[in-house]
Amino acid sequence: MNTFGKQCIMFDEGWSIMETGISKLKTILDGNEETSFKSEEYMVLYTNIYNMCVQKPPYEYSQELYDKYQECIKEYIRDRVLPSLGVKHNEFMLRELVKRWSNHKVMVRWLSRFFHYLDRYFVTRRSLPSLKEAGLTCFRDLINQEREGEQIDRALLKNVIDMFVEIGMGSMDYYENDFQDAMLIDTSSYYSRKASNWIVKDSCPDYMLKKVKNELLVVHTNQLLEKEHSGICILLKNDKVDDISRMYRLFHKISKGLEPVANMFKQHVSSEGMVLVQQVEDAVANKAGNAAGAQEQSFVRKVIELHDKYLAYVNNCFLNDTLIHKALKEAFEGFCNKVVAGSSCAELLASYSDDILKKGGSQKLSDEVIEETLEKVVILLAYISEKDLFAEFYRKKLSRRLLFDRSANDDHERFILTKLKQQCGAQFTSKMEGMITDLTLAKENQNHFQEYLSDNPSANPGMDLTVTVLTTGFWPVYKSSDLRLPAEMVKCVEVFKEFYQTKTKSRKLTWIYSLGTCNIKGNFEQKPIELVMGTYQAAVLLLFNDADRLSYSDIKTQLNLADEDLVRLLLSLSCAKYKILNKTPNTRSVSPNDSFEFNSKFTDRMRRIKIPLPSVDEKKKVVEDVEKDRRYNIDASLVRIMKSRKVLGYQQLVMECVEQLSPLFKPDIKLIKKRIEDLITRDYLERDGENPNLFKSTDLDLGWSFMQSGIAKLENILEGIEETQFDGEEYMMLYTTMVLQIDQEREGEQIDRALLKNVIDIFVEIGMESMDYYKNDFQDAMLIDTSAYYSRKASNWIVEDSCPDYMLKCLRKERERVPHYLHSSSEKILVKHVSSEAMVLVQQAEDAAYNKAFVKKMIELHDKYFAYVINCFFSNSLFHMALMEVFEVFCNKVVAGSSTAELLASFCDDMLKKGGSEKLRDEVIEETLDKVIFSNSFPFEVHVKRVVNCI
Amino acid sequence: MGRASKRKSDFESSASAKNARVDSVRSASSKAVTKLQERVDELYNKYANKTSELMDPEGIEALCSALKVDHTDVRILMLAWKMKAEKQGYFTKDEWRRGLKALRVDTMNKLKKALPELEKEVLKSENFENFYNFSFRYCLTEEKQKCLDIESTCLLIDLVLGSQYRPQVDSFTEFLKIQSDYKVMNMDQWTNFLRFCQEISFPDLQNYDTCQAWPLILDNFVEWMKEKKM
Repeated sequence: MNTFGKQCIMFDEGWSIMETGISKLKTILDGNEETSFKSEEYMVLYTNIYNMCVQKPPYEYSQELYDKYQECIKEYIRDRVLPSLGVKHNEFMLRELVKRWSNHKVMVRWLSRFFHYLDRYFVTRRSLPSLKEAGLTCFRDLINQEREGEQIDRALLKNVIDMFVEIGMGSMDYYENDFQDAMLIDTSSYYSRKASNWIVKDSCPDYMLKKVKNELLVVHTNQLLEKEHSGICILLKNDKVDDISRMYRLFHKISKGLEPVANMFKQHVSSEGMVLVQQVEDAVANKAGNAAGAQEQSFVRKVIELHDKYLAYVNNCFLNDTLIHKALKEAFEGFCNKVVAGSSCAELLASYSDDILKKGGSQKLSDEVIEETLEKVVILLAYISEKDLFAEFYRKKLSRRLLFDRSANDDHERFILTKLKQQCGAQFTSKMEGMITDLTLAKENQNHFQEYLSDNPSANPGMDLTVTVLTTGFWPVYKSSDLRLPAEMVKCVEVFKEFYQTKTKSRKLTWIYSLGTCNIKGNFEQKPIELVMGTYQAAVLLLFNDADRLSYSDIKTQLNLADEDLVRLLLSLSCAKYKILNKTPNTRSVSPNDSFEFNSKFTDRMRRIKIPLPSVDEKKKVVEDVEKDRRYNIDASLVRIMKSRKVLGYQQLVMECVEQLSPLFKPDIKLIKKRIEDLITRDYLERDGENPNLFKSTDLDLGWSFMQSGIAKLENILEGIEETQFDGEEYMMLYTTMVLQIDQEREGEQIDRALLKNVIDIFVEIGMESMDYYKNDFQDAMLIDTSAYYSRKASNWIVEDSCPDYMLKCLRKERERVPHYLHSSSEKILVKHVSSEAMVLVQQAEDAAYNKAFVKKMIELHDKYFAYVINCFFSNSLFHMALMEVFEVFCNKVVAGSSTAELLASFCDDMLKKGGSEKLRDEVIEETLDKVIFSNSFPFEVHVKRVVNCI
Repeated sequence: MGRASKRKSDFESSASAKNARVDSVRSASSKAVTKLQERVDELYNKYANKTSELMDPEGIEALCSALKVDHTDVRILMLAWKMKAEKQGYFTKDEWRRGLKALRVDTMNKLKKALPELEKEVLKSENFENFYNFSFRYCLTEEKQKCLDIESTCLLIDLVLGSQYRPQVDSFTEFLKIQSDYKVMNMDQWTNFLRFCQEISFPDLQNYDTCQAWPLILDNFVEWMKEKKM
């Protein structure tokens, strides 16, 4: 070429040549010209570059060219690309960008061709970024600048980001790999940088709306969640359901992403709960206990509302996620086990349900709302660890409702018991159910008493008397005092005792006057008024029939009352709203030197007034009772565990004990330790000689002898020979040994079966009948154990053949007493037993496919148990219901492909048609058909008609 | 119980007398043994109640003054341990023989001299635990009694542990007298107090761990100690 001859090309000169080339390229890229570069043009440009590069210094312009090259590209982007991008939006902008990008590529390609020599020679020598790369970098840098661009408004920025996300996510295919990667890394780092800015600037929901990469979420999770104005707490507080749901959707995709959310959720719920607790505390502190009751009521209501609200969140926003569920549970457990203004939540729940269930409670609710609320109370109970305390308080309140006829609705009472039973097990409610049953029985008993009185007019005490006979074990313990009754009442008591003895032999009645109510007529000067009051109050007033004036000490000696009781009584009669007695001196308190006089001037606009007796605070006693029960429960649990494990480490023993008792309460570790100490003293456990952290259960031989003596004692008690009583320790020994023997027997060890059975019989009898003899500790524990045992054993026996025998025996034995000492467990077992027998029949029928026999057997079965219900259980409605339920269950089973209804129909057919398979006398046929209809009456009404038609 | 054991010991002594006769016929060396036995028995009879032929509290007190030891001295308890005595305040002839034979003494003088040796023997670690546990059982005088009242416990602890673990004993007895949760102490708690003395650094209680199976009474004690320190 002509290079050699020529003068050196100056830079400006050379660059102007290049510029023409470049501007041509630009116009081509802008689509203004179709023609591409001709090879001559290309040659000129290339040679130009070559010359400029190979000239000797100072005319060697490689560096300048390289810089110029970059500048040129930048210029192009700045002047052409950005403005064109700037005026377009969204998708169009993206399209433009894509177009520009491909243009850019073309341009860079061409330019690098022009500058090819530079690339090969200069760049490699100086190890600068290759031209191509440099070109691409330019594009990126500029856009980056644009991103950061101060003058660019937010909307645009957002668009850019959107675009980048889209680029990052979807449109990668457009890019060469090197660019793409760089871009991606760049984008994400830019983005996360930006994100932390946004967290400060933007509100959280907005931020989430942007489709953010997971990575970003993870890094900023906590910051996000804790954000003051838009964190999850605020969302929860402001019920931003959509936002919360979105948050859940976002976070649950990230591994471990939900944990912080759950934590925040828990914290939030707890703090809301604590606010409620604090509110009550404050309110009570301010009002000094005046409206404490109302406060506590509203506390429970608010807790229920709180639970409703967050449970809805868990279900709806968090799609029932287990983690969140757990968080909710823990939060509620946290503040539900706090002591609120001196009362435990267990107590508050019990009184709240009492308020709902009793007549004239503070809330007027429809049946549905009541049931719903009760259900929620039961749900809340799940969070409370002291369930035994709840049970005790509930029982106390229930007894008040039942005995003073203050229960608003029997159905609701049963409803909540069913719910409690479902949640806490049958043991939990057995006493409460017993109480309700007791009351039903007491009503029947009262009817019998009325009949007795009308049959024996001589026995009539001359006034109406209603006696409610209760089974001691079911009811809370009431103090029975040696009140010296007025003669009129003594007669009543005696009459009833006589009547009661005609029904039972070895049962002792304990009269609890404190639960009694009396209606007496006060003959006041103006008009007679009927006074409704407690037995104690009545006893005081009746003294004034014989004397005009009585001193405090007179009353005290005549009634044989303790001072604290008497003061309370006299206050209610002389210093309260109704002053039936005049006190001298006329002060507002009662002192031992006062004297009293009947106030004949007293009158009231009502003809019938109720004189209330302030009740003593029973809270302390309830708590004490529960604590005592806990001791026995821990003892029993420890012994059970040790018996099955033989040798166990201390920690494990404690752990298992806590586990076993957790449905009832959360035992204090110290208390467990104390009980272990005690059991060691009583030789139930011993410490291992080698390892002091290991415990062993002691041998049973010792226990066996206790058992023998225990049986003797029990028999004595049963015979009514002795007024013997068991103390707690003796009971423990006996009970534990027995359970252990039974366990051993199950494990197949050689134990005298007959003896065991004997003991069991005795225990069953005790459980059912002679409870009056025992101290309450013994009795309570025994009842629970008996029923637990009973059902355990029963399930064993049902498997074995001996079950029906056993049941028959039991039924025979119970014939007389069951109606009076009906224990819910016996009903249950009967149901279980009957249904198991029935199921066997169904099975048989199915096996043999011999339908007629099935119907016959079914009728037999029904006959049999119906007879029991009528004869043994005196047609008790409970048992009727039990029988009915059982029959309903299996009568509605499909037997060998036919419904029972069908079978019944064909059975009738067989009987009625000529030459049926059975030859029976007319009356037998009629009787049988009668039964068919009867057994048909409950399960399926539709088919009754058919059967009747057949007949 | 008392009568039964007496009957039993009567029976045993007559049986052993018979054995002794048979032995004496058999060998000459056993003659010396018989001689020794006689001296031991003589000594026993000297202090035994003449009518019940049993060494009762009075006899033991006489024995103590002969030995110039107070009857509440720990060495008497050690002697009882050596004899494997069953009932507090009484030594049966068999127990007496067993103890004196083990100590290889047959006179008052020898017995007196043997006492310091006995003390050394008891304090050996392999024997001490046995002695310690024996001392508790020895104090349970009633049938089926399993616990010792706190007052007696304090005296007994002071007697058997006082020389070795003075600070522990002082603190523990102080605690026992102040606290109101426990009115009696059982064997397990007793045994564990020795373990406590042996294992736990005192008075800093650094290595005491409430999570271990220590009896609660010791947990309470440690808690009390820590509160006192604060």
